[in-house]
Amino acid sequence: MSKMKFSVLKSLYSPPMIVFLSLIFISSPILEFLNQPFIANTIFMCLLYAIMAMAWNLLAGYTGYLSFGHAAFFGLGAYTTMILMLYYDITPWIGIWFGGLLTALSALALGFPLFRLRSHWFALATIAVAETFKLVFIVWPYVGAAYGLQSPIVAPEKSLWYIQYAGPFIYIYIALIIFVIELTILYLIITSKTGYYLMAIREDEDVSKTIGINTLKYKMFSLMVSAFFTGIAGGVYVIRFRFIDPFTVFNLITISIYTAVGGIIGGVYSFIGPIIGSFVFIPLTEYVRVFIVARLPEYYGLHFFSVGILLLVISLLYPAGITGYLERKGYLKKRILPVKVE
Amino acid sequence: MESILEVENITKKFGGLVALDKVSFKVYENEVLGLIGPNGAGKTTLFNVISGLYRPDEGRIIYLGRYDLTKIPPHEIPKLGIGRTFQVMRPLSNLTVIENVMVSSFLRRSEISDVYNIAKRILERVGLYEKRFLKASLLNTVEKKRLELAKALAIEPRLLLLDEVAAGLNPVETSEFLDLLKSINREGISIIMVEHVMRAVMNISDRIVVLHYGKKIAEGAPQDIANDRNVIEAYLGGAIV
Repeated sequence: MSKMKFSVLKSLYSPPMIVFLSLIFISSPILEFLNQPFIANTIFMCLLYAIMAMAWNLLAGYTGYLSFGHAAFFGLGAYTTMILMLYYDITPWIGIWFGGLLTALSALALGFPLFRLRSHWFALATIAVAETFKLVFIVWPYVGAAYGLQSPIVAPEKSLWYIQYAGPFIYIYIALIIFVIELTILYLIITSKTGYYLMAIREDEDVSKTIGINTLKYKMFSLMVSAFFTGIAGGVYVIRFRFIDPFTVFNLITISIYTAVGGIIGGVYSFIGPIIGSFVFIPLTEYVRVFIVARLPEYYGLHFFSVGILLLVISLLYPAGITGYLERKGYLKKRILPVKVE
Repeated sequence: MESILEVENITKKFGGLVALDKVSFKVYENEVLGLIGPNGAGKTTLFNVISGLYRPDEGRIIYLGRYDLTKIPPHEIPKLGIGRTFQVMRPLSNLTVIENVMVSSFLRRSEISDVYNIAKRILERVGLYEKRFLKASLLNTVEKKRLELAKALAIEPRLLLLDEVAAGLNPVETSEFLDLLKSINREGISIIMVEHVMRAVMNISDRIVVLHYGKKIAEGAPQDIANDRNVIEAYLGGAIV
């Protein structure tokens, strides 16, 4: 690794980032000791959505292609991991990486038609893609059709092979490992030539061509990396919840839109925006879903409603997202260059 | 003199409109070629054809005697050493001034510190060094024109296509800009400039090509063009006799 890359990573793993990661690291045993499975599960969900929102943001925030169909990639990754485990007895330790790779390859195939479209037309097409995947999986017997698939059940909940343990506590570590890997890889991408090229494409595609950027190649790269990590997130979901069906993993609202919302309210022009967004948004929806909706079953759907209200408020008060607001107020250093070069 | 660019019989139609009609001319090494003509004459269309954004219906454009630009994908043309600016200034608005230049400079190298240092030098040269950390959308018109030039210079061109870089500048700014262009030209970079400001184009050009309704109606030294009957008719109106 070159000296430059090392200094880039030093700027990523700043003291606040180290503190944040350490807090998550020690939260697992503490919450287990205090017997707080809801909070532990919420932290897991925050990490899971942060993984997805960061991947989504590479495409939407950095490259300028808004997607409301990332559930397609999430579902593909989830089903790949599940099928490898169920039909071929391949451990999810390996399966999730295959899930990511297969998802990236399918993104390559989808990219050719999708990238013939721009702006809102692209966004609409991504919804269509994810919904199509859902409909196909609903009627496909090999993948369990509408019934879904269940992981192998291990008698005492202690299996390193299938990563099955009681409670949500251990899964914080699984999500954290993936999170840190993704954080590092994405940061190296966005601070390199490729990252600058993606931003140039976001700003103006025609101008990008006149400065020598092969726009299709770089857009494709962005989509594939984005799909890769979203597919891995699907695998992590399988490890944690052990059951999937097409309605859950290809869900337009709870997967595609929630991921995008995490990115948008955090701030799409910021690297850490989607992380902050997910850690704000997911606890709120989880709280409303588990505590308020559960007590008022006749008002099912209230949690979606409250999400809508939250989005309205944030887009009115902080149109540039939370990080945009913090930058304006001077609490967060405005990114001038990713690395200190002077 | 060696020719760097040969435009041969370029025709470009948009539906029924013939935007360029069998246009041919040459650009020589180290030359500044002025490209003038009334509004709608096809000047910007010609730039878009040379830089590959439009494909012509007929004709070819030979660069350095061996590349036919009409057959090369647009993103590979800058690599060959052709840089351009846009008439409607198009900075990458959400990036800082220096990042705008860095993006262009990545064409020739990939180490971020090298790119940064080169971008700094180019910004010093076009007089935007103090503004380097400003968001590009916050620049004024004059500064945006300079940024356009900086971006085009950062790809290290042999040929620059400048689309109305002097429009909207006051006389002092125009003459400063022309001095900058002359110094760039002295380094061996050929320039084709589309320009409406006659004083600017007459002052700097070695030769001038005049387009009118997509046709080349005159070509020659500035003083000859200024006295050309067809050109005067085209600008003042009336039939070409």
